[in-house]
Amino acid sequence: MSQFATSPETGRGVFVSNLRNIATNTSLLIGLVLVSMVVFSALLADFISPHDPNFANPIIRYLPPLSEGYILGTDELGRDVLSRLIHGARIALFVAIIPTVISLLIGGILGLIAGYVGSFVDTFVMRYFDIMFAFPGILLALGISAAIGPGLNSMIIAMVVVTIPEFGRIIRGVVLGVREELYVEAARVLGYSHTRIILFHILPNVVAPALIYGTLQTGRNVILAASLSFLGLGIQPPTPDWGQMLSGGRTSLVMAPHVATIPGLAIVFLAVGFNLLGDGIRDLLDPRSRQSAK
Amino acid sequence: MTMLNPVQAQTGEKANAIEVRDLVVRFPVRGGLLRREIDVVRAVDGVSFDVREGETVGLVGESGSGKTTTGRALLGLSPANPGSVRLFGRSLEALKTSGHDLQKLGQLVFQDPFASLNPRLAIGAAISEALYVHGMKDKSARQARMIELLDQVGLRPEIAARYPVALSGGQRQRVAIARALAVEPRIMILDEVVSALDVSIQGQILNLLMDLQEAQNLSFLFITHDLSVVRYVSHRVVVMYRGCLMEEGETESVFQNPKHPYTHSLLSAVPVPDPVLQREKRKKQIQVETQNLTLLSTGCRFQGSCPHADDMCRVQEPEMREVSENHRVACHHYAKIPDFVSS
Repeated sequence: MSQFATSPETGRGVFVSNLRNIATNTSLLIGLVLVSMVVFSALLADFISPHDPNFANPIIRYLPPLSEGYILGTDELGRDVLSRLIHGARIALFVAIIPTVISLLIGGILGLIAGYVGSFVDTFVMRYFDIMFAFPGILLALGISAAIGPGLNSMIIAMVVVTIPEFGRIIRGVVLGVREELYVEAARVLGYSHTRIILFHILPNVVAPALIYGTLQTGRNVILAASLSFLGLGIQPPTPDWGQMLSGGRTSLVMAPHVATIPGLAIVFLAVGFNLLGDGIRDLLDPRSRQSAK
Repeated sequence: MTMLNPVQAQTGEKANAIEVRDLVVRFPVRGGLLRREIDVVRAVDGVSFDVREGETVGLVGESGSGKTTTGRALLGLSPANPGSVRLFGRSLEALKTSGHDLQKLGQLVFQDPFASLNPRLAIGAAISEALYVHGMKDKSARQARMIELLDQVGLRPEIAARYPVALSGGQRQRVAIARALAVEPRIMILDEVVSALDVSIQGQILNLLMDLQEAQNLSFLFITHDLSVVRYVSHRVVVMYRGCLMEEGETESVFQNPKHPYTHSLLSAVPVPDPVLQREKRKKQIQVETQNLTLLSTGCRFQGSCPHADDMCRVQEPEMREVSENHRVACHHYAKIPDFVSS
């Protein structure tokens, strides 16, 4: 059945012209470089980190950056900041990407159903989204984390719950527009089933916006996850995590500012990377925004 | 055609392909805080006509006259009153609930061939999909039939690999027709199928449709506002105005001897390729006013624009009456109205 779903976007002609567009797409390239640097350090953490990230040496607490053997210095327990940063990349990527994927799936399905079915189903789902939107994201995530107890799992659940409405709204909007397209009505006249119409005629239109907003949301999730960890509701010590490193350095901000500043910069680095990547993908997939940008 | 579908086998020759009896389509107007129904638009208000097997009936009228809504109602796409539509003797309600029978009987071709094809589907895939849904699961059989259908609408097989963007309007409309034919329908509702095409292509598509009709004994309901097109393709003509029938009859009878003042005004609105004559004509033309459709006034719907309207027209709605064989008109004063002189 899949031969019906061949999309021109994946066709060779468009792909080649896309390759040409990638070369001139600066935000995509920079985003790609930033994100892949973090991805590589996460993958190769065991090989490239100079020290054990959890080995505490109280004798060398608060070593400043550029000390011998400790390029980025040590923290309040005498652990190597660089090693913790490299290992923290794993958690940072995990808690940014996994919640995005899960909430994209759930939000996407909800949005697809709401947009396609319409009437009271749409009203019901949208009012639920409105309620979720009424809370500030971080506050809601805080509440959920606090309610089910801190930890990696509860943090992911909290982030998924907070971000579902964002994806749901976007996907619903796309579906609402496509549903009124004449070719969807033509499919109905030809007697195609709802499943077929949704899968082969509506879903392909959702892929591009899902990819774009998924990437942008991943960037926002980096910050959200770090905030939760900073407040002690996310990753628990001693697992190296950027938000928690930030929290640990908070008390020594005057005496040893690098302990908090360095993980903070890492968070910004990754968040900016994902945002640029998302912008770049949008320029690539949506010719209209490309025109307006230039 | 090689295959006879089950519905085809049951019915006899020259049956009524489409039978419309007192069709009403109402759209609620909602408003206020609770989206209550505050008013009703009667887009189609008591329309009756027949389309015989193998016949083309032209449905004409101005924008907003309800002609498209009527066409859609025939395939269950507009909210029609139950029991008002029968296709080959079977009611729409029964057809809707029995599998693909409705699609097998009637197909719709849309006005805009640019929007009615999925831009992400290659032409071949779009036609194969229709074949697949309607029971042709074998891939090579589907491929062969798809090529055959393209050939029937005058397209070369190479076009199967192309996407709609790479096709001209005329080619796209041919593809849309081929896709509808894939279902092997017996009735085709052609909703302004040539309006979006330029004149030279219009002729090609109309000839193609007429050839297909002859070869496959198809019944056409040809919805259009273009009177010259109607005259060219239709056996009979139905004139609609504000959701009601005004006149109905054999094409030549209606064109040469129109009885209803509205048909007069429609025919005189056809431009003449002579600026002097055209200016003369415009002076005599009736200005048809556009009025709120929700307004339920009594009497004839055309009274506001009719030069012959009198007190009777304001009170009593005229019924369809036979003026000559196969020619019916809904006007109180059709006998008094001077003959139409075509300029």
